[in-house]
Amino acid sequence: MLDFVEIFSNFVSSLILFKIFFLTLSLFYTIFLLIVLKQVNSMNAVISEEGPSAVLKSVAIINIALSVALFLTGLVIL
Amino acid sequence: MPDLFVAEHKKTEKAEKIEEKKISSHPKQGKVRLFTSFRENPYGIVFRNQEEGEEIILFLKKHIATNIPWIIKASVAGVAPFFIALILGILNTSIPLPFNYILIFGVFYYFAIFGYVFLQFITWFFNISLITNQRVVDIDFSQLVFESVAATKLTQIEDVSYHQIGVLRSIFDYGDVSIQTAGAANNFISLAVPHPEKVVEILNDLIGENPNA
Repeated sequence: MLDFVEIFSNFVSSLILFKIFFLTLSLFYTIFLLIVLKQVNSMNAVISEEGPSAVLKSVAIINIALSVALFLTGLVIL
Repeated sequence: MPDLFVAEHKKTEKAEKIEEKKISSHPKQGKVRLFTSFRENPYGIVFRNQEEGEEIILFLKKHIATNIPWIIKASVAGVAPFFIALILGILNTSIPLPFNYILIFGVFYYFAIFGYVFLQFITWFFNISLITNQRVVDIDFSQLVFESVAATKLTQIEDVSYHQIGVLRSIFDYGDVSIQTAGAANNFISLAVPHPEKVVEILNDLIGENPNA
């Protein structure tokens, strides 16, 4: 019985470690995407192409929104 | 004495075309789209420090075929989890994690692949060479950390040449264009641009047109 409790507590603590690992990774990914957005904006200031520039900016913003959503989902369901 | 017969000046089609060309020396040809890598006389593009009356004659990026290596890498990374799942299925084992963990790590994995693809794409997208009626502008952007804009006036260009070595380059018709400039100014090299012979031809025409050249 004691062994089972020990295995279970090990499993739970490893899950918590996984959660922390995932959230850290997800946070870094979001920061990376923010840098990407900043660079897209700064390059759009250097050269602006009527259609494509707006498309790239939109994709970068959507990507950030999805990444934040994933971070929050991870925070809730893990 | 008044003229009795005056010959009618019939404009031939050729003369009309020449006149049209004179009015607009570089008629606008097309819009630059997301995957455009070569466009003569484009419209809808504005770059920083563009002077008044400065027209973009040629818009260049690396040939779209130069993206093939990272597309292959991303595709392999994209299908890898399915192969891993297949192998685990064959070995009759599974990942010792709850389903929600596997799901969220899987989603994150594909997000990371998309991030990689997006980064590679913007690196290609923002590496641009522009040839205007006054100068050559080279915009470089590399892996988020490097960004540079260089320009040289057409009057400073001494020699233009291109190199097209390799099977892929011959098949897809792309190559490196070298622009040698006078004095201490840096030489320009546009790597893997489509139709390099045409780029050289256009540049030579522009240098010839330039009265100061």
